[in-house]
Amino acid sequence: MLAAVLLAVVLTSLLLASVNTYAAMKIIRTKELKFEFWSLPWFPQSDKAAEVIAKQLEEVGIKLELRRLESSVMYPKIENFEFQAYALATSQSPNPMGMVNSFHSSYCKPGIGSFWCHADPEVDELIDKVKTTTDKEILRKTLWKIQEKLAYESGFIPVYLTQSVKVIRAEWKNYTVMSGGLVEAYDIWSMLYMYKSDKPEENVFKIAFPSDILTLNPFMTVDLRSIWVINLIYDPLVRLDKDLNVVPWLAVSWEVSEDGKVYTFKLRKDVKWHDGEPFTADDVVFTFTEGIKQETSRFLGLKDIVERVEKVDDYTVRFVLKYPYPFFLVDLASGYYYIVPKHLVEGKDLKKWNNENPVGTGPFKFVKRVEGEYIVLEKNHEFWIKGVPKITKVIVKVIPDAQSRFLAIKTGEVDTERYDTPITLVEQAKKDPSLKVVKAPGIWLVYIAFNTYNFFYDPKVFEAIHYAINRTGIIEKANGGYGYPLYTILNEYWHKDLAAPLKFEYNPEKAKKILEEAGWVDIDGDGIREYVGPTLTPTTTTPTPTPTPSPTATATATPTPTAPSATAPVATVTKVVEETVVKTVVSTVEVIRTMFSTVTREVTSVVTDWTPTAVLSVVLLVIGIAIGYVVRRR
Amino acid sequence: MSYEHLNVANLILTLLRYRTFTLGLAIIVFIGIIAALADTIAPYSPTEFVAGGLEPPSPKHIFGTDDMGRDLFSMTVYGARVSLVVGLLAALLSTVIGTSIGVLCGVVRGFVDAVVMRIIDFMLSLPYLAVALAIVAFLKPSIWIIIVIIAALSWITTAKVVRTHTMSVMGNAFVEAARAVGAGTGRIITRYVLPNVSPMILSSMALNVRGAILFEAALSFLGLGDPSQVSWGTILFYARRAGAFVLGAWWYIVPPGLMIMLTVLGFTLIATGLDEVLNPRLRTT
Repeated sequence: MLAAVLLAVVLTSLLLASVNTYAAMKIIRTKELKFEFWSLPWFPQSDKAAEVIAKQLEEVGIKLELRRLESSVMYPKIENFEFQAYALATSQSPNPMGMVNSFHSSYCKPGIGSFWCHADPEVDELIDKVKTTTDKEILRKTLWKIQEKLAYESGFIPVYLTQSVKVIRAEWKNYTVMSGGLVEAYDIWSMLYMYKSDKPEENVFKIAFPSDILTLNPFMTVDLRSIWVINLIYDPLVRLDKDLNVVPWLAVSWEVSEDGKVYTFKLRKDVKWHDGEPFTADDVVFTFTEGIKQETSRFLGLKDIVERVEKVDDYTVRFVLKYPYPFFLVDLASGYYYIVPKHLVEGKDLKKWNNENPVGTGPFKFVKRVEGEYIVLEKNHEFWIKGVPKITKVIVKVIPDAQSRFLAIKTGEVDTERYDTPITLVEQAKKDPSLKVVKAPGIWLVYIAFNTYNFFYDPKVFEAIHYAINRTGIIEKANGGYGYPLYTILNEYWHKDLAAPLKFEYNPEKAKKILEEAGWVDIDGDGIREYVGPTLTPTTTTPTPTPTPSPTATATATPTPTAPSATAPVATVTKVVEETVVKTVVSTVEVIRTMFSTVTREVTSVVTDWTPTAVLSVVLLVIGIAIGYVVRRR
Repeated sequence: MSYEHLNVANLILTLLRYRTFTLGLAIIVFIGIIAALADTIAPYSPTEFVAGGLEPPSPKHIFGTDDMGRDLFSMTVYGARVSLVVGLLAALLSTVIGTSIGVLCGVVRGFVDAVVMRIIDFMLSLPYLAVALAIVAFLKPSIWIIIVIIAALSWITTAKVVRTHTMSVMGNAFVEAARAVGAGTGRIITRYVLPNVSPMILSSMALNVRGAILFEAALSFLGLGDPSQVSWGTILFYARRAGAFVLGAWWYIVPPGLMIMLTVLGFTLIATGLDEVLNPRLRTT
């Protein structure tokens, strides 16, 4: 009997749980279109955009109350869905799954690090289809469909992609311009072919970093500065060319099985480690097997994809995947998976390995690093592409201050800098003939997002916002015109034809119309739209004293028998008075209630976050008083 | 220090003879007029984008424009309003709190005094800005919240000063005499204590205004001020965000910086003047 009950309980909860995870987005409406709008004060590209967006949306009756918060306060709250709306930027990579996956309903949970939520079984199905299809055409069509659905239905509104603007000394020639910006991590080509003089010894490339790299361990890289250095010392299996196509690197060629689950790579035979040992399949198998097995941060993402990695012969490696993942090659090329030498690394705890003296196969050899000051690399003369790199020496200098970095470039102390040159300095650089400004699609997608998890979800409002924001105007004000308007979660600068050709022209009138049709009308004249329901128009919501209220005119009057309607004016007047009184009372109660709930919410949020501090303070205070009292007594 | 009741007219006349005080007053009156007439003086709205970014001063925009094309002259003028309102109200509030607590401690003494003094010691050990940042992070940073936060953190010095002086007043023979005649505590406070400590209250209030203005500027400079209001601190925040310091856009930084400096100077001069007149030991003439 008990067992049966337990079983029933378990089954119901399982059923409920499954229903819960697969429920589509529920419409949640606030009373009016007013949102607290968070922004990071130290990220100008999104913070300035937030200011402009708030202004533009105010014109169509949507009020975004800007509030600046530090990331340490803001991110945890966003992850727990304790927010209303915010403006931020997210980084882009050539692998579209980074963006697309985040819209799977499994990310629609508080506390798992997800920043936005969209739970729609249809989108889930499409994402699963994308993850497993092998057909290019189906892949593109499905991705387009996902983008279209999300553009019209999700609370994630892309605004623009930043343009990377970098200053480099004009004597450097033959560099490559790639998405992400000049000499960024995907761009090995500039570092191979760039030169400034025919005399090799003069080709010393000096680059300024804002701060030191965090690690030389390719398994635990989190910052792009470390990756930049590691990228020159180590090689991956495949790389991206300047149009972001996957091209052979340590792997010469590859074959993909019919079902898309087995990738067989042929490796280069002429590659040597910097210490002279030959590079073989063992190194590749070791790197991937151990990287995944030891759960290193860089390789963790492969855990769900790669079943196993095996050696076929000394120069052939086979990857067996758990499912046919169409972006596996792109992921290998863009995921910063660098091959390390088995003979030197075997037996090490990869999470703690600090790799003081890196040995790789890449175009540059490690020479010296003085922490917090500089790093020196020199040309690998045995590099397996003959005749490159043309640069003989790379010096990474740490110069924390943006102005000092710029001045260093101007005076020739360094040649360029890691990360973009501030837009405001670019104007100065344009006037200087010894400097060149190089532009490329940047990595930051600036967007605004609404809390569709538990605060607000009305797709019509999001659609209206798409029309109400003037993206080119935002780029002009927020980033000096350096940017590309974005309308969907993918974009042509990073994902080429996978980006859906969808566009929302700036049209505030259309936005207003959409809002009105969706039932959002400003009825109290404060410039913020309230929800009145799609069938009503503003005139019918204000009660007009009609002598004979017909049941069709006011729905509220119907349940009671219409006897008073016969005795006309007096009854109507009293009724109006009554209504007014009731309305006033109700609205007063409502105001008090909202005030109260706001206060409680704020207080509880303070208390939950500050309990330890508060308790500690009180304890200290009591101790202090006690000591003071004892001392006084004596 | 004289224990006679203050003659307001006399006091003002005396004060005006002091150049420090007069100069301070002149500065504050000047800024007050700017703040009061902001709507007429400012040619543009402080929040509208009216021109291109970072235009140097020109006849059309006499202080130039900021990076988003707002008129810096208008922003500076409206900034006076916010900074003065925050400064004055926060100082008033903190002075009221500080005086009440100081007088209470000085008159009642005993256990209450001990407890309050421990609280004061505790609060003196807090880093104000850090605490304010923490509070602002969790409450909506409206101008009123900021006023309350500043007042809540800055009543302490006033309270300490007032307490000490209350105690010294309470030790005088005339208080004892008043008690002997049958005066209650309330009467002693209103007739003897308050009039005698009011010079301290006045000068510490002038100093409080100074502190409050600087505090508001610091909060806004960190981006944690009220974003719907333009204060001098907010302009400096925008300037830092735009990299104006790096760019050499001096017209972006100098006006708000000078205004903050000027206002603080004004209130400091007033406080010094008050001190000199009301505290005979400091008199130089």
